[in-house]
Amino acid sequence: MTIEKIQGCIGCGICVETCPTDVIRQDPKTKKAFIAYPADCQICHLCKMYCPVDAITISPEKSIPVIVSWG
Amino acid sequence: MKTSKNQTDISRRTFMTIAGGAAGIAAMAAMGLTPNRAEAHSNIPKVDADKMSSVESETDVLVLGSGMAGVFAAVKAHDAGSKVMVVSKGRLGSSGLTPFAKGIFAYDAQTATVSAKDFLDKVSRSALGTNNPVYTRQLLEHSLARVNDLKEWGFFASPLYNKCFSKPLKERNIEVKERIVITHLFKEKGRIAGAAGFSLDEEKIYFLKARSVILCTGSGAFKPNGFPVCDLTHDGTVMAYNIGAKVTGKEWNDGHPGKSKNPADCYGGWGDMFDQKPGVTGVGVVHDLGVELNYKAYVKGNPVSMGGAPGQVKTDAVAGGPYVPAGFEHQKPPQGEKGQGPGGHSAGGKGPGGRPPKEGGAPPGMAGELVGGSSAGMAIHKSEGIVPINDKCQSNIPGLYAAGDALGSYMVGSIYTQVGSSLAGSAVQGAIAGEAAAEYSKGVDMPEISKAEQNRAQEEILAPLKRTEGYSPAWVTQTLQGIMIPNFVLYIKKESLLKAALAFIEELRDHHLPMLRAADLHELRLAYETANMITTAEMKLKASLMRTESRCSHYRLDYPDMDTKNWNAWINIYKGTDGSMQLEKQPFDSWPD
Amino acid sequence: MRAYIKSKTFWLSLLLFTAVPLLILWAGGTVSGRSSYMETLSVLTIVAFFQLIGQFFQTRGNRYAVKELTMNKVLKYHKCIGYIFVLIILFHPIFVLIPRFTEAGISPGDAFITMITTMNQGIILGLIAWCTLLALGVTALFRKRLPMKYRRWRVLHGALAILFVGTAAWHAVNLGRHSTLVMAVVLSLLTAGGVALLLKVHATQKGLSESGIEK
Repeated sequence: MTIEKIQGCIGCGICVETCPTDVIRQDPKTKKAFIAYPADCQICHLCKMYCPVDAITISPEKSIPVIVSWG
Repeated sequence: MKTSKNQTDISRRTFMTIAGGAAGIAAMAAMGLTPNRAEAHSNIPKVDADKMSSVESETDVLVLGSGMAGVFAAVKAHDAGSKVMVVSKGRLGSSGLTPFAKGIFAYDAQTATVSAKDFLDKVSRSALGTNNPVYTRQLLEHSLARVNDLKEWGFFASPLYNKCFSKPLKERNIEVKERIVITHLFKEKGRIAGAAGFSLDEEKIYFLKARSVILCTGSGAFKPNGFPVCDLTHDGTVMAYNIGAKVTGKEWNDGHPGKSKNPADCYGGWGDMFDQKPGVTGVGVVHDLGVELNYKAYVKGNPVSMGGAPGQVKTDAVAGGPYVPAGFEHQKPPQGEKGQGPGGHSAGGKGPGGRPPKEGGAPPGMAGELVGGSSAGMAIHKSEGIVPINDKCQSNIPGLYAAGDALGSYMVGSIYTQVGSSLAGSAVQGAIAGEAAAEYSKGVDMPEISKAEQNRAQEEILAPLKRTEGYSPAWVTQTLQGIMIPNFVLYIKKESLLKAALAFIEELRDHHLPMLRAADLHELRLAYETANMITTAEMKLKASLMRTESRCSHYRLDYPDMDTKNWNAWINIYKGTDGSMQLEKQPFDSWPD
Repeated sequence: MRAYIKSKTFWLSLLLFTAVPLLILWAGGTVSGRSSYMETLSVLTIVAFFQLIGQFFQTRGNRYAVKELTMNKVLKYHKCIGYIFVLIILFHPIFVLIPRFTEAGISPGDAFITMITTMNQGIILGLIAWCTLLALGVTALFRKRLPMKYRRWRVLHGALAILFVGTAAWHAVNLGRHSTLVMAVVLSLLTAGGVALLLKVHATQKGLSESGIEK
């Protein structure tokens, strides 16, 4: 689950800059943040702590990707 | 796999909400369009590599990285008269390990209960000689001044550091470029000439000319679960190694465990650490964060846990294992063993925010059953990185400096010896490197980066975007984690397994690294990070094989004892003239040739 | 009061402007993940906004209500509900800052500045709606001190109401934490219905002369 959802985003873009692992991106059309690369979330909560409107929900679980023999 | 699951969840919710046909089709279409990069598929680039534009810029001092070391390097280089530019892969004060470090050491000679000499002696005893006393002393002498600088910037007023780091840079009008991944350093006529990299947001390649470069790029790991280090992959170290810099400390390990429940949850795994405002820690000397717990898990198997009441003697201690010098045994619960933060260890002193540490048991958040490897790939802070040739954080390449976790200064030695020293050390070294780089820059002309070098760098940067076939960085990273993270490879070492792991890593180096592909700029970043992790893994295995003894955070099952006759030396790694990895010894009390 | 609670007008408005949004919220499954007091404040804000849309139907244009309850009673409840929920909506930008007081993160002041200076469509609409709502509340509270006749004031009141509900509904659909397609559709329909009713009253000027309030 990691970073779960972004609700009530005002499009300030701070979470996009803040995420150390570049998980969040801003949709150029809607001007809102969305979860672009959830597999790279390290559950550090920085995005949530920097969000001015408390829009981000994060859960502590992460399902480890299945290891495959080539990819 | 993860992506698709998440998308399905969202779609189901959307379905319930809209309960209508047309919108349902729209939701399904969204599902189908979702690329899944963990899946094997051909590369369909979303970025046109041929249309990338390039941006050129120049400065006196180029600071790479924007954590604690970076901000001090920039400020002090500016104050010493240089034009400074800060370039970071992330955001100022919000990337790398800096945002999570909450305890900072300050040594005040006026009020200290321990004399400087006693402190230095004790550190050397605990570090079993592995520390560089010149850098340990520097920390003592400068830490208070740096803490006072930080107070002035408002560092201690918030748990988040972007605002207080922005203040001194804005006041000085220092240019900060964020979200630019630097991948190459340039050396021209035997000295540093600049750097190149790409933007995560725009289709642009940056060529940055500079009289001097300071690497404040932090350390790195193998993107482990449970430690907020997944954006650090030894980028600075590998870039510098590629142009001939010497690198050290790759055999040491940070033995940080994670919680067995939700092991990937960095935030929860650290109790309320990330929520706290930073605080000044006391001055204490310990012998912590090595691989003792990993040894116990290796011998006994899971579950391993820590804690217990204060003063309680551990009855389940195992025989043998890493040697702990007399006077540093854990009489109390081993609270320092996990430390209080990647950069702020509060064991023995006051907790971050000036609060006393919790009484008894494990550190906050670390009670209960544990799993290993949450900081896999990282060494003890400041024991790995660029080899300094003097006390000015200078590398063997003229004009190239490093500070903080990017510098192998051995300030604490190869095991945690100083409470709260990690943040302080980065601040102190950042300032020293900044002043030294500014001084150097005054004496040299602005270098030129040849067109041929620029073209070569550009080709290399764009290569993963241009590959229609290849390997996804996510898969190669997972494979590398599977090779390197097991307890019996990285922590409890022996020759046969180190060699076996090395064979796998050499395969990744020779066959997979040249075939890494990327569909967008995010994945391009992952491709570079993966390449850097492969180089780091090779360094770690080779240095571990070479060090035929056990000491501090390096433990060899086949050489369990300390060998002071042959191994009172650090291991330096450099690129040979034929491009191969070379290793050499540097005696503890010397500087490199 | 008792007559009002017994009236069909009350039950119908309760259904449309309270039960329907609550049902949509429940079905949408968007109310989860945060502390219960924050979720409660979110729900309260949404219900409050629906009550304000309902205000268009607590007027003389709603001939059914006037017939059932008399104009005086309708007006009384219009005022009562209006002042309560206008206050809640005026304060709702502050609700969102509460976690910045209670949880670790950036300071509430910094959060507020970022919030009102982000030049995003939803924020600009919200700022316009907020100022309009403030004007609506103040001109209603001090109507008798304003140098204008009741008839003129009513035009002003109606105009402000339309400006408010238009920008606010757009703001809510654009920025709302619980904004879903169903929510957006229902919100738009109710808003359009309310505005249409008001325009109809003004177009026909019906009922004005019957009222004694003018004096």
